[in-house]
Amino acid sequence: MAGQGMVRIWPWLVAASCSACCHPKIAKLEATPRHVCPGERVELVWEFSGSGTMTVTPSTASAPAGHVADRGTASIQPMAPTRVELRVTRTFGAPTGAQLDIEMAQGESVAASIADDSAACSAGVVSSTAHLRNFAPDLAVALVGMQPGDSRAGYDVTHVDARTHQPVTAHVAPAAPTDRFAGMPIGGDWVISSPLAAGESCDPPSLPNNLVVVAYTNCGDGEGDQR
Amino acid sequence: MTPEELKNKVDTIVVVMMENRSFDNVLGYLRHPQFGNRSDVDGIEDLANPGYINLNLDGQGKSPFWLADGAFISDLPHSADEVKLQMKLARLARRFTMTGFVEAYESAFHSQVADPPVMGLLRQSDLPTTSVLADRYTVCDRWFSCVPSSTAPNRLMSMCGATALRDTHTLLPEQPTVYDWLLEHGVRWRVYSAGFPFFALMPRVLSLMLTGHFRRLEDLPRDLATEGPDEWPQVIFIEPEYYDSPVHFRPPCDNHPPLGMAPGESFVAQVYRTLAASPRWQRSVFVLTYDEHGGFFDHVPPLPVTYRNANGVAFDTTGPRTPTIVAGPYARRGVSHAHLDNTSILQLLAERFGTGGESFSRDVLDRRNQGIASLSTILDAAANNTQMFTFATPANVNVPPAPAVPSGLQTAFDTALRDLVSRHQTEALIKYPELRGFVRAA
Repeated sequence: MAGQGMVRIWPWLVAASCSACCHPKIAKLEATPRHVCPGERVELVWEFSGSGTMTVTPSTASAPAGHVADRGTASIQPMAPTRVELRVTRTFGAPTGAQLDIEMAQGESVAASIADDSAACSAGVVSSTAHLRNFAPDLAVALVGMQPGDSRAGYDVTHVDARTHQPVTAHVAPAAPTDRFAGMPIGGDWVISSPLAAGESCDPPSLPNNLVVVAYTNCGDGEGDQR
Repeated sequence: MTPEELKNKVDTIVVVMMENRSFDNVLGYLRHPQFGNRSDVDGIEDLANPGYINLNLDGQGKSPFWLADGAFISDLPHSADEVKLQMKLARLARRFTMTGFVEAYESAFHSQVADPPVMGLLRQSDLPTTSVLADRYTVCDRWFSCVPSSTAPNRLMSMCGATALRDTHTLLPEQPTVYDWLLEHGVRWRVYSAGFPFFALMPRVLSLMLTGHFRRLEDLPRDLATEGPDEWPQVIFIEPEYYDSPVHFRPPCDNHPPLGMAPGESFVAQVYRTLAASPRWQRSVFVLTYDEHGGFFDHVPPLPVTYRNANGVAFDTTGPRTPTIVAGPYARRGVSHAHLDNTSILQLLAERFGTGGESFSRDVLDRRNQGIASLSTILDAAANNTQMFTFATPANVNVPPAPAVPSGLQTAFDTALRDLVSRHQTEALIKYPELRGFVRAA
């Protein structure tokens, strides 16, 4: 009977003492910047509790591979879209994992959400702000246009040049992209406004979820940043 | 169907409740011109619709995309706070925008990927069972999870009509269940489960689990073939093998990420084939539903149905939609836009088995008064949908490794099963011999 009692008691003790402290846990896995040109330097930062392995696919020189310390940094220079995966195990608890994609997108949806604190609607115009973060400074805009299939009449777009801090404004319409933002870093705030479409109103509110333009980017001379 | 029609024509109501999928994740393809092309269904017509874009933590816009069925690296976020973020209230627009699914995912799992799995949509090629049922029976495109939260509150709402929990943490609180209601009303009922039933997590249901009310799924064909009309249950709950259970009778098949859909598709096909091949099917209603959306994107805002309990558990809306299908001879082929949730099943039970005009409970009546219809409203006594349909085999019945984030449900199942053995010893081990290995391993 005593043995059976132990069978019942021990799991409770183990579960109680380890429920909070013994499971693997990932506190951080970040890439800065995460949106880059080929060959550009990306700093990886991680922090976890447990035993961790990291894979970088496709691998690059200096990319972490295999077992890594529970906190650390690494610098990589991916030449193509790259996935970083961290898997963590510990004595108790199920394994956990996190994934990061380092992206080299050439067409980026710049979406200003109506749920953003900046959203406003007055005088027949709805506006909001998109906040693009973690983009490399030399990931530059080439053209800005409307998303295919978007039925709105057009957008007024304002983007602040991160180098000069000067705002630039342009209008985009269906099949009429603008190059007014050419050369500006894509990162930063984009204020997008549009006249209310049929069926939309400010009060009572009947507004779209998002105001969206597409920013096509390039990487300057195309050689990438080898710094 | 009217209560009179129900009493005259429906002998058995069968409920299969799976886990954690949104309507758009499973059935959104029905609307898309390339796949279902059904303009009657409120699914995803255009992946590039600007209204569907969810922003990630970098401010990038992420649209829904076609996802091949398979295992995930982790569960997806769906706690009460995370669902609130997913539904994303726009104060300016005074409505939920359903645009916070990616933000919730990235925040919860420190993952930022080009195609966040929460935005993934399956196609009929990944859904050999569900796609056939959706094509032949009634698709409910306004069936919502009861509350904007996780499994435990939603299963409590589904099976009790009320919840004393705001979120999933541990064992279920003691509440009157549908089992009590059926017992009080002299209704024959039974649970057939592919693994341990969910309400093992409610301590006072443990003793019921040792009675004939709770049986193994493999008993279903035998009972169906041998039991007479006075034995065969009037209400049947069929439960999958839950991924979060620490003891399995068979591979998990509840569709809960990180599990893919293939094991659940096989499970539902097995259940359907067994039931539909029986003459009893001709007087049955079959409901395939889900407890909640599981963190997957859905584009339809929740209904403003409020819920309050005496202990301060409060919700102001339903949760997101779930992919519910009603099948059987009284299910029309098509779509229902009626506002429904899992308490619609409780309303149906009250209409069929209660006394004239009786409600299941005050809480369920309150939901009815707020616009949640009874399941009876979409049944048609003249539907005559009696043909039995066949399914292909899922291509990819893979079971992933253990879930990435230990869940409250895992802990709760672990506690409940230990309690079952502790309280009922021999009886429990005879009925559930799988527990022997579990206790020994512990």
